[in-house]
Amino acid sequence: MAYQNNFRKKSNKYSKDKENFKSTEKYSNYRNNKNKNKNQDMHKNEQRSKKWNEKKEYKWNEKRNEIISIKFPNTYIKIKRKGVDIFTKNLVPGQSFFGETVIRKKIDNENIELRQWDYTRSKLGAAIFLKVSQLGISEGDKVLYLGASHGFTPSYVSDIVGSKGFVFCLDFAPRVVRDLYLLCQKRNNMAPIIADANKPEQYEELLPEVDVIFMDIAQREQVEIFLKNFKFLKKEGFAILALKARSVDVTKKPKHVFRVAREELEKHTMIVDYKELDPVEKDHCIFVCKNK
Amino acid sequence: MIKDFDKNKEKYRKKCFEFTAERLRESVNQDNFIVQAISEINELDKVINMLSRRLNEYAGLYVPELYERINDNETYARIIATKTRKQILKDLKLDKSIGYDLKEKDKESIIELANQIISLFQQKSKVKNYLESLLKKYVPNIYYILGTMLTAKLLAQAGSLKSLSLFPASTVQMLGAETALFRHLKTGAKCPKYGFLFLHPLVANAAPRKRGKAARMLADKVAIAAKVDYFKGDFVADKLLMQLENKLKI
Repeated sequence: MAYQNNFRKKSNKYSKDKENFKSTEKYSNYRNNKNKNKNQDMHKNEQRSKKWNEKKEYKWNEKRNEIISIKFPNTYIKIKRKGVDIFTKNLVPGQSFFGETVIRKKIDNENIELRQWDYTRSKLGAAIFLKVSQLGISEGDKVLYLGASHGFTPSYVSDIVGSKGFVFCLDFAPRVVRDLYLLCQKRNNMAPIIADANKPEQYEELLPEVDVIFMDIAQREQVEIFLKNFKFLKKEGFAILALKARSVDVTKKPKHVFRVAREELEKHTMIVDYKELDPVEKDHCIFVCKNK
Repeated sequence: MIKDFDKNKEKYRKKCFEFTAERLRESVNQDNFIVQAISEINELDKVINMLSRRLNEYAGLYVPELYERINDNETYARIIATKTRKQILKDLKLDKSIGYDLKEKDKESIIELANQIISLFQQKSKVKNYLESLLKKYVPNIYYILGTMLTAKLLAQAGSLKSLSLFPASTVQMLGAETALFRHLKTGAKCPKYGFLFLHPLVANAAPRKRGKAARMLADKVAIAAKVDYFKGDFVADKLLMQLENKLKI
């Protein structure tokens, strides 16, 4: 017992000393210098990784561990302790096409089947994960999807627009369209088109006036092709461009490429939102435009 | 543009499907067969190497001395599939072996594995013959200069004969060295001198200092031959190769 008492007394003394020391000028000087040196010594890579981590721990203020609907139609999120799951309401219940998990839930007295959306595989999903302000896609819209590939993202877009809407999926490579064709047969609101997005004359007969255009192709003249397809868009319709900096120019920095693209887009359209998809997709950004 | 889409949705959807189906059918051509065949050969090579390493470990239990004498995987598998332990030891002129005398039951799976490897080798040679016959008809000029495997590799990397014929000679020279080339463009490291073309004996056997020069000349001739093949001109490859060999001798 005697030993314990002694120990307590000592520790009290020590803490008092520490508090006294903290209040002095010496301590504050020492502290400031330490922080200054830290910032100077930090290597560039470390600074970059710090930024990366900040974005990764993106904070959502909603309730945790509950499935909540968000402002985009037919989309739901579930906030976990680490990260976020994004879901869409499945248009074809009982089927998952890419091995994604399917959940059945009762929301607002309705039994709904939800399909999980892996946002690391899709640029549109990444934009939703990073809290893009608006996409312009609403229920019942007709969407023209350029660069559909295997049809991963288009299948979610068709979920969002619902059974009244329609998605035209366009791609150029025959191998990829083979998969897309089989997917579109199973979903009533999708149709495949094999054509070059650079030549809109070739598929003019197949398309009506659309409400939304989404483009995700890795070409050098991405912005020009994007603007060429504006002739299918209705007045005040939305158009979304996922830009890949590396395929425009490898030697230049991504930010420079984005700035040049932005200047060119602003001549013809109105940019509503702009987001860099950095932690999820490297050297990518997304533009949400509105037709004048 | 369609104006009454909302009324006849199903009709226009069907039209899209027909449009793509027709184009998909048309898109298959000779290039696809060549690309598939060369990638099949590459994958067969991988499987054969993996399985024959297993066979060496397995059969090494009873004839460990055999693999030292024979380095060819095919003949090794043949010997093990056909001959008994005593015969093998006789051929090697050994009285005693460090291997263990296995029972008949244990040998069965080893012999089955050896037979499997032999059949894989047979399939590989079949595919190679098929590829050769394809290339002789489709790209006679490039085939004469480069041989089977190199031609197929170049075509697979370019994607199709059309795109290969549209490449300049400098791009043909760099095919197969993409990572090194982009590293050079990005960071300013050394520029690569050759890609797949290094497999050609004229480049590989040249003196180290002249290899870049040889690759450049070879790429020139290949680019010419590709253009002749795509637009279906006469056979000029023998002249091209003669010019090349004469230049490289000096």
